[in-house]
Amino acid sequence: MANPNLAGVEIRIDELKKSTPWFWAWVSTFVILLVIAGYAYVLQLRNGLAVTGLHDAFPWGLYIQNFMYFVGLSAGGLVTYASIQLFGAKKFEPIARIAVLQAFVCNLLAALFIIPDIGIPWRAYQFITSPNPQATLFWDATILNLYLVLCVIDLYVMITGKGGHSLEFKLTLISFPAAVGVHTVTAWILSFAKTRELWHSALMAPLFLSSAMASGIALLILIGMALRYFAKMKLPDDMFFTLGKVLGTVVFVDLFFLFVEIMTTFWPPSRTPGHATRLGLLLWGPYAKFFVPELTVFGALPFFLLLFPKTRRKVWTLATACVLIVIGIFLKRFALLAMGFGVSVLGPFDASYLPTVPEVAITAGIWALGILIFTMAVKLLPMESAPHGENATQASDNGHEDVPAAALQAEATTHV
Amino acid sequence: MANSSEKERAGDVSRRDFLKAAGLTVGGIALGAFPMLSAFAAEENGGPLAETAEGPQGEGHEFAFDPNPVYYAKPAPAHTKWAMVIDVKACVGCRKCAWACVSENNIGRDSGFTYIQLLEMEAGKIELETANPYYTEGGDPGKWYMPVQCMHCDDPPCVLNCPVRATRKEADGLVIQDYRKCIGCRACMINCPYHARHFNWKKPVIPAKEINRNPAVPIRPTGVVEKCTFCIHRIRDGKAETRCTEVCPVRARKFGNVLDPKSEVAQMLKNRRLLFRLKEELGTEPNIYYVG
Repeated sequence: MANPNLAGVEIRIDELKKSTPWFWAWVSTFVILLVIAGYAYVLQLRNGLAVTGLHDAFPWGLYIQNFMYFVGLSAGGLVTYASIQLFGAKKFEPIARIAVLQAFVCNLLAALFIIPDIGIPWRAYQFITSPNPQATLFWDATILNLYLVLCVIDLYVMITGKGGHSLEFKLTLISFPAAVGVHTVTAWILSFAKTRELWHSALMAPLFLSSAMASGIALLILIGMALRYFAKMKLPDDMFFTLGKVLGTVVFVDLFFLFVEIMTTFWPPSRTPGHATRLGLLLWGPYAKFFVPELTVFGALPFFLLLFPKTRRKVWTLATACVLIVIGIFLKRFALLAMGFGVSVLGPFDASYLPTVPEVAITAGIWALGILIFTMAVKLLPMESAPHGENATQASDNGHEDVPAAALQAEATTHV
Repeated sequence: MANSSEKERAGDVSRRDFLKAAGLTVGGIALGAFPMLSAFAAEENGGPLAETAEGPQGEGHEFAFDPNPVYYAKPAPAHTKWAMVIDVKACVGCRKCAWACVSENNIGRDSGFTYIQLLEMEAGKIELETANPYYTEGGDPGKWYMPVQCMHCDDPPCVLNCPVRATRKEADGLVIQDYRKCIGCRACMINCPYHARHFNWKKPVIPAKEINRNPAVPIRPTGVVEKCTFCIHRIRDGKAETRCTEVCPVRARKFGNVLDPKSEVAQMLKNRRLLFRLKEELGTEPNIYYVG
């Protein structure tokens, strides 16, 4: 039976029919998580956000932490793709579609994490009917949705090959600034809050971007490795190693920014009690158990793993570094919230926060949805970036592509 | 005028007479009062008082007011700018204001917040990081007490940061919350420097016989943000006194229209020397003045 064709995109139903029981076990695990999350969300709608661990002194928690984390993962994915288009990083060509798919799915999840966080979500239409252009949140919602659409268009153009590389290039000229922009504006939600001393720092946006790139590239490497193993996708080792090199640089920049922030806070002539008390919570206070590992085990250690060629150019050490970074940036997002809320703006109100079971269930459900969408997209859509005949010729016509990715892949298969 | 207190309190008459006499020196220039007091607040030296006729916002504050009145209260009166003066020398930290406010404003008894917070601080220090919001007794002579609530800022970060314009500034200076528009994103809580905004994490629970049946005090739904209204249901209804002002046993709180030079608040701002506004360095232009 022929596969259905949706607006020029072949949906490979036959692939689904060939799937192993393991695949269905994988899928149903996440469907179950999704159902549990649905129940938890009904519970939250019925009883209010009191079912979460949030309170007035700690008003944003796990949901917003995830929102910021996924915006980062998304931006990281798209920046990798953009580097192919804009900076001629042709080595990354085989993973281009995966990178854009990651950008799309992560961005979708980021948007979804806003929904359980807001008290009365069905009133959100007012973002359109009654917008406030001075509010950072309004701009964040705008650019988030714009970027989501751009990701879909990017992906569509890549898969169908319509418009060729020339269109891909032009689209990247829009979606790259959007990817940077979505993260910058997300950082501004925090850094434009002039009342929260540690957030109100111009370094926040660059710090967000470096963390975004670090976590995004690390996740991309992990997804690539998983797809190579499970989906038999042809991805060369060398590409991973080069991505690892980029990742190492980004992690260094990220740690440097943190270092600058810590120095500014604690160096005696620069020290102010408001800053020092709050950052102190993260370094030796109740949040140290998240933040100190973030700096060491999940920060410095992966950096050194990526620094030395011996460990960088080995699949398992590279993967270890990536796992550490992906976890580390997640912890860092929590540290970021704790930085703002740990001591209330009006003194030491009780600001302890621990996510509750419904909150974790809803979070897990949204993660599960993302994994499901990603799995299905990889299964049903042509995600391997081996250029089709038409695509390849157009590419060389436009002069953006010298070596077809297929050649790289062929080379890689001989290595593996 | 709506704000001049009808009921004279025994023991306060001589003071009021004095204030009235002082008020006559600038009497009749209602609109000039606020620029003067802001000049006073800035210089803290009580220099020559400029008598200019400016709008209710005074110098440098041009805030776009929403023309629609909030649906649950009467529209804002003209030539009025509400402000509160809190005498921290008098305040003993008994929290009567905070509790009276809870019952006056239909705050859920189980909701975990009050509009008014009281901070106990070491004498001679204004250091919020080391303040104690959880003291039990109050009245400690070695400490001082600072009540904090919504400051109804002239440049309110909450209004600037509400993505859907569910909170806004009205012409009489009140920052009001529209419970029908609020989506509960809590961006205002993130941005408020005074911890004055509170979210209804759960359905407010109030014993039936304790509910304030005034229709201008709606019981809020779950999932919206609320805050001190300066008792909008009272002050827009001719009573120039908030509940917290009324119950304060030491009369540490004064409330009124600063544009009326005869009002108690205008007088206090003119005559009291030690005066600060909490976190005014953030540019929020708060409308609660602390005097000592």
